[in-house]
Parts: sequence; structure tokens; C-alpha cells
Amino acid sequence: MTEMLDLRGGPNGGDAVVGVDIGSIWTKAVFIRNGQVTNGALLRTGAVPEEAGETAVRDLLARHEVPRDEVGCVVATGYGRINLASARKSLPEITCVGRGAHALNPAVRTVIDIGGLDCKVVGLDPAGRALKFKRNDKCAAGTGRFIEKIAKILQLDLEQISQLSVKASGACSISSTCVVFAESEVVSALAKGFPYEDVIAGVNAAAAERVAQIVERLGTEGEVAMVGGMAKNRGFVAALETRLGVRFAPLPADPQYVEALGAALFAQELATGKEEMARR
Amino acid sequence: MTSRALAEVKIRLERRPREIEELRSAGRKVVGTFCVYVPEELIHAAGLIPIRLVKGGNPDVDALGDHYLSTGSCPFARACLGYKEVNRDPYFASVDAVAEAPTCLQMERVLELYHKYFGVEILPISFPRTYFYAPDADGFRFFMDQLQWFKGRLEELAGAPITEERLRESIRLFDATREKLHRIYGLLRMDVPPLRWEEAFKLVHAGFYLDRREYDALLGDVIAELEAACDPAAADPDAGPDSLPRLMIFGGCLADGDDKIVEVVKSVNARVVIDDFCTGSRVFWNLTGGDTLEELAKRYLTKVPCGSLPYPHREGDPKIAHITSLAKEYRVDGVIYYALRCCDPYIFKTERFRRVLEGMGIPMLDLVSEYTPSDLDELQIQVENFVETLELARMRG
Repeated sequence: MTEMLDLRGGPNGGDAVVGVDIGSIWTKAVFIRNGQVTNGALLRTGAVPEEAGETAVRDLLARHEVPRDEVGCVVATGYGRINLASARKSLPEITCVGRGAHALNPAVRTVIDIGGLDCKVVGLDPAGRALKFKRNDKCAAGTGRFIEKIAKILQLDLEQISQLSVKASGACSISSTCVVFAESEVVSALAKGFPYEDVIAGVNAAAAERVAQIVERLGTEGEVAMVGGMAKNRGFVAALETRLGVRFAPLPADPQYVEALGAALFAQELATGKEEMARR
Repeated sequence: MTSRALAEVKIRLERRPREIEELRSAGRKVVGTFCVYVPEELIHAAGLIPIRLVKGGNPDVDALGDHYLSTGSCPFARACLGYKEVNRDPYFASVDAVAEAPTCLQMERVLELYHKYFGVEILPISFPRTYFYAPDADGFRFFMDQLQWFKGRLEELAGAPITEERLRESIRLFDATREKLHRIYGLLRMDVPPLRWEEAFKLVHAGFYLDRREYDALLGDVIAELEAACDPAAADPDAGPDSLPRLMIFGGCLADGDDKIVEVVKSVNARVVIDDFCTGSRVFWNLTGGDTLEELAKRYLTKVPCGSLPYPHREGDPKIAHITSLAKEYRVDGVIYYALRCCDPYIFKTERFRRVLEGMGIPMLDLVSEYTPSDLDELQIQVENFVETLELARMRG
């Protein structure tokens, strides 16, 4: 999975750097060498976050046949970022997601980042630095976990959910944002004979409503982009765009890797001793 | 800091339960208080031992409190009942009476239940909720009547009158203590203070339990040590310039032992420099300014108000005025507003504080939590990211 983004001509041509995003469900890693950005495998974070992080780094380097000591720098982010032995630095998620989104589309001023556990809305300054943010409270409604749970009831995988969600003719009403209550609403909707497509559309609409409230509390400015695993759920993205009345700015990359990309870009700055990073 | 004086406070605290036991077997009585509105000076002047019962942070204790209230009640109120049910905490176990001037309904209920289920003698003081609308009118007379009644009840309990002389001594002692705590908190205004806010905050808590005269002397030792540490000659020449973001933290009751948010702010790259908790700076912020019962009444009426009181003062909102002046005085970069779940008064004032602070260019993070550890990661992530935005703002200059 090699991607986009021409970084050639940067100050650090030959240095290989890695950004790892250890999320609550998935661990993602991005590798930059010779201006070329490569996404690593997605792997389940599991019970020991630092192990997932190390494996992600190791696999990526092995795949590119880069010896560990030729890696200029590793930067970790995400919920499991603490204690990653190979990381020179760990940075908060909002910093990395801002950096990644800005590199992909400098016009973006608001990033909606929905992962497995949380939903963050980050307001950026023109340089991609986080100005302000809002996050869901401890309830995981409207996040990836919510959709995963519903997929499980329907015995579908997430790709199927995404495909079906854009085929709905109507949305059945799911009013609960609590996963446990929503589960029983889904079961009863299915019993009433609603097609899967409409049930999924209802679930996406419920999740979008919850996220929209967080977005509205922060307020949006400029171009709005959506990143994180939930950005791959096309029905959800459409529901959120409709609810907010905006069209999300295109990002030329896999949305699930944007935070890791931001971490990798910071790793590059660290490796080349850029001033702002050195101060931190 | 590593401090001999702070270590001494800890030693005295360890000794204190035993000491109280001995005093009680010699006939001295203990009066517990919950809120910061009980004039403890009167308890002290009666020769009784005032102990402030503001403990929290233990979800198992809360679960016991649920039997008397409900899971949908204030975690602190539930803790007050849970501790009494277990009755193994030396302070809760040793109270002969509980005095309380509840400003919220939940604490009023706690007091009723103490009497009903635990048979504890209660001394309820009514606090005039409308005082802040009309500071010089009936509220004052009403509160004076309450204090006269309270004084009488304490005299019965002690079996001796509270003489003017005794009251004067107690007020002077408490004011001296308040002045010392003020001086210690004042040090937090420095770029690099000689102690952490967390240490100053815990030092306030020590006063809830220790003998008040002994506590006052201990604070004197702490100040001497801290001020010596501030001496430029004693400064570490290798210490670089410090540019940590400066935080204010305030909100509802943050009880002794409710350390979740305290540990979180300690772990991040920021420095808490001031609080406005009823277990922190509000304990000592206003001095009495005189040594009569009237002056004492005025002191309690005009304290920086608890969130559960209405405070649209004729002269402006005293809470907002205090918070904004603290933010300036302590050069605050960001504010953490921390409320307990089910604490409506603090939760529904959140947006008001946010608007005022953001109008000063100071961002505010609001958090709602309780005593279960289930949201610890969540708080950590929220605070880390908040501090990060402050850090990025500083870089922008």
C-alpha cells in the first residue's frame, strides 16, 4: 500500500523515519524514506499496546529491508503511545492528526477524527497546529466500537457495512446512542423486517448525530476533513456530511493512517533537528 | 520538594487518630463538619475538636452510600454516608456531633440521614441563600441568629460557655493560619515555585484533622523552609528557564483522597498554580478582619461563594470576579474545570465560566467525573491533549 504525497526535496532526503499510531483497536505505522511515504500493515492493538507498536515498526522495517539502526527516528502517537521503547518521542494525537491532515490538504482547518474508542474534533491554525479540540466523554457511542458491535449482530464485516450503508432506501430510526440499547433496537428492527441496509443507515445516522453534537460544540472553520477508521464507512460519512451541511475536503491518503503520517512527519523533523521539535 | 517540614506534617497526621482517641477518653468531644461554611472557630472556642470530614475517592465506600441515597446522587454525599456506615475511618468514627451549613440539597440530606440512621447528634446551620442578592439586609440578621443558636448548642455540648475572650483567641488563631496558607499559595505565583500546587493543596487538608495550634506552628516551619528555598543564593544554577503552561483548576468538591485528577495533572507537562476548591484556596481565602461574632458571620457570608449558592450580587458576580482575578494574578494559561457527576450546580455553571475565561483568552477544559477509576485513561487523554493545545499556543507566541 504505497501512497501519494511527494515529499522529495525535503531537507532530509535519505533518512528513514517511522510514525506509529497505537490506537484502541488498530495499530498503524507509516514509513518515510527518500521522500516516499509507505503505510504499514494494520494490526490489532490487542492487550499489550507497546507490543503491537513494536511489531508494527519491526514489520515495516523488515519489509523494506531497513536495518533498525538506519532509522533516523520513531515517533509514537495514539492511545497506547506511552512506553513504546523504540520511540524517541511520543506526541499527543491532536498534534499528529493536525500535522498529517495539514500535509495532505493545507486548506483544512477542522479535523474530525473518529477511531475505535474516541471521536475528536480538532481546530487547526493555518500551519496545521491544534488550536482547540473537543472529545467525546468516556462513552464510546458514535465511534468505531459502536459500528463494530452492530456489525457483529448483523454478522457482517466493516467493508460490507460500508457497502450496504449507501444502498439504503430509507433509514430505520435508531434513537439510542448507547451500544447496549442500540443493540436491542437493532434486534427489534430486524424482527420487524427492516432490510439490513436501512438498519445500517439508521445506526449510521444515530452515530452521526452524536458526532455532530461534538462538532457543533467546537464549531467548524474552513475546510473540514474526516480521518480515522470511521472515515471508511461511506454511509456514515454521507450521513455526517448531510447532518452538518458540509462536504468533507478530500485527503489524498488512507484516512486511517493520517495520525501515523503526522507522527512520521514529526519524526522527520526530529531526525533533522528542526527547531520547533527540538524545543519540545 | 523534599522538605523536612512537610515530612513532619505527615508524621503528625499519622499520629493524630491516636491522639484524638486519647483526648476523647479524657472527655474532649469531637465535632465533625462537611462544608466550608461551618464557622469552626466557634467549635474551637468551645474547647471542642473540629474535624472536617471531606474524604472521597473510594468507589467501594460510595457503593455503601448508595443504600442511603441513590447511585444518581453526588459521589461526595454518598462517600459521607459510606464512611459512616463502615465507621472504620478514625475521624468519621470519632465524631460526637456533626455540624453542617449545607449550601446544597444533597449535603442537607446527608445531615438528615446521619441523624436518622446513625443516631449522630446534628447541628444544622441554615445559610441564607439570598444573602448575595442583598448583602446588608435580613440575611445578615438571620445568619447571626443561626450562629447564636449554634454557639448555644456548642456550649451545651462542651458543658462550658464560649467566652468573648476564648472566641477572640480562636478567631485570631484561625486568621493567622489563613494568612500562612495564603503566603504558601502566594509562592505559587512565581515562575518556578518552591513547591507544587499538589503539595500546597494537601497541606490545606492537613488542617482538617490536626490540632489547630499545632497546625499553625507547622505552617510557620513550612514557610520558613520554602522562603529559604526561594533565596536566589540557594537556587540551582543548572535549572533552565521554565516555560511550563500554568493551569488553574477549580470546580465542585475535590475531597481529600479524591486524587484521580490530582495525579493526572501531576503527570502532564504543565504546572497547576492555583485552585478554587472548597478543599483548597477557599478554605483560607477570606480573612475575618475582626474578632467578634459579627465579624465572623460576615466572613462566612462574604466568602468566595460555593457554586451551589446563587450569587448575582448587586455589585456584580463575586465568583466570576474572584476567578478572573485569580487567573490574572497567577498568570494562568489554561483552566481545568472539574465537577463531580450529579453535582448540578457546578455542571450547569460550566458554560458561564467558559465564556468569561475564553473572553480573557484563556481556554477551559471541563471534566465531569466520579470516584470510579474507569475513566482514568479518558481524563489522562483529555488533559494531555488540552495541555498540548496550550503548548502549541505558546509556540505561536
